[in-house]
Amino acid sequence: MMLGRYAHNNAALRCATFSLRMLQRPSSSFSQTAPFIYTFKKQTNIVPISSLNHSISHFGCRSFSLSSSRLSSVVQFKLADIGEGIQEVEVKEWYTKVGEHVKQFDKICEVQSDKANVTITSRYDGKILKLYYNVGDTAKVGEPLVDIKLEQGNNIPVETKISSVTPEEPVEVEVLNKTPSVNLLATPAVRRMAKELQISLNDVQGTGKDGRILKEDLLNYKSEASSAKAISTPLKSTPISPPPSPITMKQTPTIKTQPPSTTPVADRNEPIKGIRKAMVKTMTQANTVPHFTYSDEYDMTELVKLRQQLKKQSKDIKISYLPFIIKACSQALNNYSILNAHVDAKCENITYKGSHNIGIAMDTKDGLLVPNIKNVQQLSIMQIANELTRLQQLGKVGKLSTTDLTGGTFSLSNIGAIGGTYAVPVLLLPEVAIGALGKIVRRVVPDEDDDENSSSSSSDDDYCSCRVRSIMTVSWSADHRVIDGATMARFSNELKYLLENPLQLLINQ
Amino acid sequence: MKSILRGGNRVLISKSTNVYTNLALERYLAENIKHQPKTRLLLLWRNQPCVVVGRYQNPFAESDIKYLSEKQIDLARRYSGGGTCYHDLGNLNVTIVTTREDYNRKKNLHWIVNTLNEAFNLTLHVTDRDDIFLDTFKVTGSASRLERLYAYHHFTLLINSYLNDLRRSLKSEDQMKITSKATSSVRSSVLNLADRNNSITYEKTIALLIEKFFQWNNEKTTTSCDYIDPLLYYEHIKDFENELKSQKFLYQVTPPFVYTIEHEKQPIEISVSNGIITDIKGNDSIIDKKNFLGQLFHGVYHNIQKLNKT
Repeated sequence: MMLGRYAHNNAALRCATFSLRMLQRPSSSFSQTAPFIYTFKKQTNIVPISSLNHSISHFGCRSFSLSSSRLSSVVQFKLADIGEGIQEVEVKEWYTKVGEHVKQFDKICEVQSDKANVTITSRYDGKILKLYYNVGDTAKVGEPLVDIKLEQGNNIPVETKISSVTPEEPVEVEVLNKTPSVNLLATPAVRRMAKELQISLNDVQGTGKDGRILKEDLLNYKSEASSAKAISTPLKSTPISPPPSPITMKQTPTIKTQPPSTTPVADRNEPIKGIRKAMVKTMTQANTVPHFTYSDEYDMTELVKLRQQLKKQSKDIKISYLPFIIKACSQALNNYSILNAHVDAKCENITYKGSHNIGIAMDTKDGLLVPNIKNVQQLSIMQIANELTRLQQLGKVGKLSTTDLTGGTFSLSNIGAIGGTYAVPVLLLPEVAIGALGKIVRRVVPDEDDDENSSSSSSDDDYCSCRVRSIMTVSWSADHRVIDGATMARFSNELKYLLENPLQLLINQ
Repeated sequence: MKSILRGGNRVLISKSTNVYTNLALERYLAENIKHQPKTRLLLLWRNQPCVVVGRYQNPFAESDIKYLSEKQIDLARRYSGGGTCYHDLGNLNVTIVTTREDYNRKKNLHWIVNTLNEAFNLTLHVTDRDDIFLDTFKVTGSASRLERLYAYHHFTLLINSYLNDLRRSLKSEDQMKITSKATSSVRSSVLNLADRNNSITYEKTIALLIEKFFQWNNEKTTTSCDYIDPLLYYEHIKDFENELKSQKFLYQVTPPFVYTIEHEKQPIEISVSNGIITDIKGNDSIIDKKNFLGQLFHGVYHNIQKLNKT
């Protein structure tokens, strides 16, 4: 577009303007142009077009210039207007040199004008023929910066005549559509290939410059159709941890002579986007950390009783077990501060975090997120409950802030609210410990008397008194590089003691 | 939660005070955010004491390298051009990122001047070189970077900086010894805003800028303002950060120069290109060229200093 403007003033290039616009990226502004077919030839040794230096005269050259007589193949790429009324700039660095091939959007040079650095990129695919300035020279806006020899080819019918010297690479064809997609960058070759393979370019992730789709991308997409990623999904690096429940399935094979007649249902392909995509990343990272899991059962009967009492006393206080558990964790962490720590990426330093910012895994509108409650050590159980409610409400509408989602030092997953008992939670880096709380189930447990004597006297193991208690299983995972099993076990015991004796929790606040 | 890379009018405040991290973050955000036309991203950050030279400058000509290493003041080179700055916690860094088409440095500076003048009763003005002056004193340093799809303009604001450290760090004995085409800084006398109005603090300034930023961009609320912890994006910015910290980028990217010293009353010219000593002109009998040719200039800098004037 820029060149077009200047070209209007330059008679020599006027004839080139129309055709040069053809060569630029198709955009909706060209909707009025008539589609026409032309070919791009990739630079090879044998193709005559590029061989300016070859002394042999090529039949190819003749017919090339015939069919595209309006196109002048060398373009003076001028220094475009930089803005701010700047007329002159200093050339600071060249990113290319004479003879080098550049693609559209490749960097050509860096210029500087009184504190503003500008990167000049190429408008065209072609070969650099001339650099008009040296480093340190002053370049003028509107004047030529480099000469580029454009890469072009013939129309299809003529091409067969030329190929007495067959090019090594297949000739690529493009038909300029009236409404091509603006945001998809792909060369004509790639587009054609996509058509042949029946791949929609919208589905393919481009790995080239500016997200350009390359041939390799098409091939990858084809072979790994199920794992294609979304093209322009912003990456969310907020930490999340899914609490998986291990599922064991036993399949007993039954022998039949023939399978029942069925019709296969079509697969549904979906690019992994958003939170799930972030999960892929964080889980993969977490997987590099050696985890160990330690599980135990906590007797929650007293806490259940306490909660029922609170409910009776005040009908409108809604408090679940989680605030109690969170507070108890914080208290236990006072004695096991290594579990409230961060390690750096290389595991060279461990930071004992002062605040207990306890994260709670939540199933929110956007997916699984782990917002955290800050400074639990300073909060009362009621305050924790209110904060939890606030975070849950924000999560429901997808309005959790960065502050809520960052700075966590220790995490819990209340998977038991949905179901399950034992789990192997995955660490939320850079934290070193995480707990998964199972369901509270009513279980029959044998009475355990304090004095050992009674058990030895009753040799009759079949008969013993029993009670029904509320049991919650908890599974802790920790970073085995810095946390050992004994530490985790002792922490768990302390937590267990606090939860089984809630009075202790309240006294020590 | 909305993604960190969404476009629109936003304010982000960096939690880090490490100059390399912040520069890397700035570039990461500028390159990856989906900038929307007619919207701006405001980045606010500050660094522990450091000296930041422009992309095509010579650190030896711009600062006292020895003093910096003695006082453990970081040396960094940024991706944008312009001159050298001294940063510390009393110096606020402001970056405004837009699409390439919406880049307008003057508009940014005038917005700042108007905002600060009104709120703090000052008499700041913008000069032709796109600096902000308070009477005859400079209070900001600007630089920009324009790429194909985005552009950013960043500048510093001296609120409450240690000016003695600033002067000492930016004083270079080598300025006269170096001849090159590198960008050289234009030095001016500086002043802190707090010196003129002692109610001005870093916190107040940030709060003011955030509020006025959204007004300036016709937004009704200020909710698009977040603190950002670069640690969380470490994976994304680590390449930039490593580049910024590397000796290569700090020293070897310096445009070619000639460093002249006087040894036994004879001038010796040391030519350096890409950080490597490529030639030494002088009296051969005095110096042993082998020790220096082919070496990295910044590596043998101290030895060269010893030769000087001996």
